[in-house]
Amino acid sequence: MQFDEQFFQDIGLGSASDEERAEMVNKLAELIQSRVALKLSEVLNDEQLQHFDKLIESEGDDAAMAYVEQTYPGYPELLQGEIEAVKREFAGDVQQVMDELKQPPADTTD
Amino acid sequence: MPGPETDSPPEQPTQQLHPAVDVSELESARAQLGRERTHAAHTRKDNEGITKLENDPTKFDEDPDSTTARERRYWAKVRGTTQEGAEKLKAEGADTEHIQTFVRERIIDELLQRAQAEIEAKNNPDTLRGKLQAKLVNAVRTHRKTRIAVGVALSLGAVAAASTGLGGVAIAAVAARSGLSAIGGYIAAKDLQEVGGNKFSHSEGKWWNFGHKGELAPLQQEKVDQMNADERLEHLTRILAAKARTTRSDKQSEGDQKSLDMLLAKERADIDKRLETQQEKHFGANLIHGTLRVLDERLTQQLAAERKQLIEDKKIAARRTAIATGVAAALGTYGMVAGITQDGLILGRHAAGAAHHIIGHSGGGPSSTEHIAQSVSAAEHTALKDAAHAVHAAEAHAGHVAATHAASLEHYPEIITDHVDKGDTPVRVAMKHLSRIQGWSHFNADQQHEKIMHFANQLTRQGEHWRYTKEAIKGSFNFDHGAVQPDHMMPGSAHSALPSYDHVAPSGSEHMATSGGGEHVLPNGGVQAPETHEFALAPDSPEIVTQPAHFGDTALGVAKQHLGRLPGWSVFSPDEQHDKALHFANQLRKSGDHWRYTKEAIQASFNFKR
Repeated sequence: MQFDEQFFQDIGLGSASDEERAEMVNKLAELIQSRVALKLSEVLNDEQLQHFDKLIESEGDDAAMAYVEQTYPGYPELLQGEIEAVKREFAGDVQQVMDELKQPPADTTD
Repeated sequence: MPGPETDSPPEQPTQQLHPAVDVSELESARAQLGRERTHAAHTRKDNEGITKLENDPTKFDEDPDSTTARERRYWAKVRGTTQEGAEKLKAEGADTEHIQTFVRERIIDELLQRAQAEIEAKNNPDTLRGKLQAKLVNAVRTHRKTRIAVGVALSLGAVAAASTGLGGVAIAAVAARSGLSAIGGYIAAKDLQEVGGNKFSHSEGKWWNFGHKGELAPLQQEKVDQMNADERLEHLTRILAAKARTTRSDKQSEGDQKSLDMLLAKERADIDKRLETQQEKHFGANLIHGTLRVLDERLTQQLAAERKQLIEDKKIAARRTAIATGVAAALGTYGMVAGITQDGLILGRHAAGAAHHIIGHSGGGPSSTEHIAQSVSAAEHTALKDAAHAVHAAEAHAGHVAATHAASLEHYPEIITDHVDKGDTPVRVAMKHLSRIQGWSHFNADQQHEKIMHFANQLTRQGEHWRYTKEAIKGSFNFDHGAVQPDHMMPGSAHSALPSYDHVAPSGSEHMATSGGGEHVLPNGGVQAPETHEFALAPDSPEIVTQPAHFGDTALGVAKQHLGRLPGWSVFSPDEQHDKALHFANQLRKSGDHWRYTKEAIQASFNFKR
C-alpha cells in the first residue's frame, strides 16, 4: 500500500505546502505511535511486560523493542490498521468541518 | 349369480397432476412462498417499527453514559468549536487554505490529546501492570527507530519497512534513508530545545553540546565524505543552531555556508543514489526542501530578533558607561580613602585601574569611546589626586589611626579569618565580617550599607584571598562615600567624632542586663548611655524591626541582620551574639514570619542570655 501523494490527497492535504505536510506527518506519526503503543501495552500479558521492563533496564530500548516484535508478530497489521483508522478519522473530521463551513447560513425567518 | 369378488380396496379418487409437474418442485415452490410471506411479514413489521421509531427519535438514543455516546458528544463538541474558530477566521477574511490549515491542526491536536488521555486513563500508575504498561508505551513512543519507521510508513508507504523498523532489523534502505534525512531530520531539528549553550533532544533524550561561538570550524570536503547520515544530520543541525544562537562574523558565516553547501550536496547525492523511483525521489526531495525552508524561516526570525537585541544591547552599553563613570568616581573616592594608609597612593592607582577595567568591559559603540576615555582620564586623575591629597591630609593622623586599627584587628583575629557559610554572597560575607568589628553599630543603616557594598565589591573584584587581609577590613570599614572625614573613619581613634570604645566588656549597666550588664565605657571613662534596648526599640527607629531581610535568607541570617542593626550589638561577644541570633531564629521558625516585625521579638532575643 502506498501512502504517497494519494495519501495526502486522501486526508485533504493535496494542496498543502511541503512544510505543512512535513508538520502533519510528524503529528500523525506521533498519534499512530501513541495508539500502537497503547494497544501493544494491552495485548502483552504481565509476564511479557515484566520481561520487557527487565530488558529496558538491562539492555536498553533496542533490545526491549526487539523482544516486543518477537512476542507480537502481528505488529505490521496493527500498525497498518492504525494508519488507516487515523487517516479515516482525521480526514473525516476535517472534511465534516469544512463541509459545514461551506453550507449557507440557515434561514432563520419564520 | 354373485358378482366377482375382489380384494382390491375401492379406488379413491386421486388428484390427477399434470404430467409435467414435479411434486418436489411444487413443494419447494410452496416453501419459497412461505418464506417470502414470512419475510414480507417481517419486513412489514420492521417497517412499522422503523416508522414508529422515526416518529419517536428518542428511541434511537443510545445509552448516554456509554463510551460511544460520550465519544460522539466529545467529537461533536470538538467539531463545533473548530467550526466556530474556522467561521471566525472566515469572517476575518482568511482564505480557504488558511482555514483548512487551522482546522487540520485543531483536529490533529485534539486527536493527539485524546490519545494521550486514553493512555493515561488505561495505564493506571497505581498498579504494577499499569506502571509496566506506561513504561512500554513510553518506550514505543520515544523509540527513535520506531518513530522514524512510522514517519517513513506515512511518507513513503513502506509499511513493511516500518514493521521491520520496530526491531531495527532491516529498515528498507530507501525508506529508512529518506525517513532519516527528512522526517528524522525534521523531528530532530524540531525537538531540539535550546538551553544555555546546549540543546536537549527530546526524541533522543540526550544533550547535544553545540559548543560556543567561534568553535564551529568550516568542514572540509574530505571530512564530509567520511561522515555517515547521522553525523551529517548532527553537523547540519549544529551549524543551523550556531547560526540561530549566535551572531556570526562574516568569516564564520562564509565557513558555515560552505559547510552547509557541502553537507546538503552530499545529502542530496546520497538520497538521489538511494531513492529508487522517481516518485519517491520527488517526494523525499520535497520533504527535505520543505524542512530546510522551515528551518530557514526560523533562522530568519531568530536573526531578526537578535538584531533587535543588539540594538537594545547598545542602549544597555550606553547605560553601563554612565554607571561605570559613576563607579569610577566612587573608586576615585576609594583611592582617596585608601590614602590614609601608607600605600594609599598605590591603592588609588589600583582603584583608577579598576575603574578603567570596568569601563573597558562596559561595552558601548565607537561614539561613546571618547566619552569613556574622558571618564577614565577624569577618574584616574581624581583618584590619583585624591589619593595623594588623602595621604597628605591624613599625614597627621595616619600613624595614630593605623596603630589603633592594627590593635583593634589584632584583638579580633577572627574578623578576618572567620569561616563564612558555603553559598554566602559577597554581600553576606561583607556583612558578616564588618558587623563583627567593634563600633560597627555606630554607623547608621545607610553608612553600613555603603561599607558592606564597598567590601563586597572589592571582594568580587580582588578575589577570595582579599577578605583575609586587614587592609580589606580596614578599607571598607573606613569607607565613606561622602567627604574626607578622617576623624570619622575609625572608631577607636581619639580624634573620632563618633563615640568610640575601648575593648571593654559590658558590666553592670542596668540597661544592658542581658549582655552581662556592661556599660559602654568610653576611652575617657564616660558612659555611652543611649545604647540601650529602649533606644534601639524607640518609635523613631522603625527600620530596626521592619527592615526586610533578603530573599533566600535563612532564619539565622534574618536574625543576624535584625539584631546586628541594634545599637549596642557589638558589645556582645561573638558567642553571645550567636546565642541571641539563634534564639531569634528559633522563635522565627516557631512563630512565623510576622514575629520578626514585633518589637517584643527583637527585645526578647536581644536580651536573651543562655
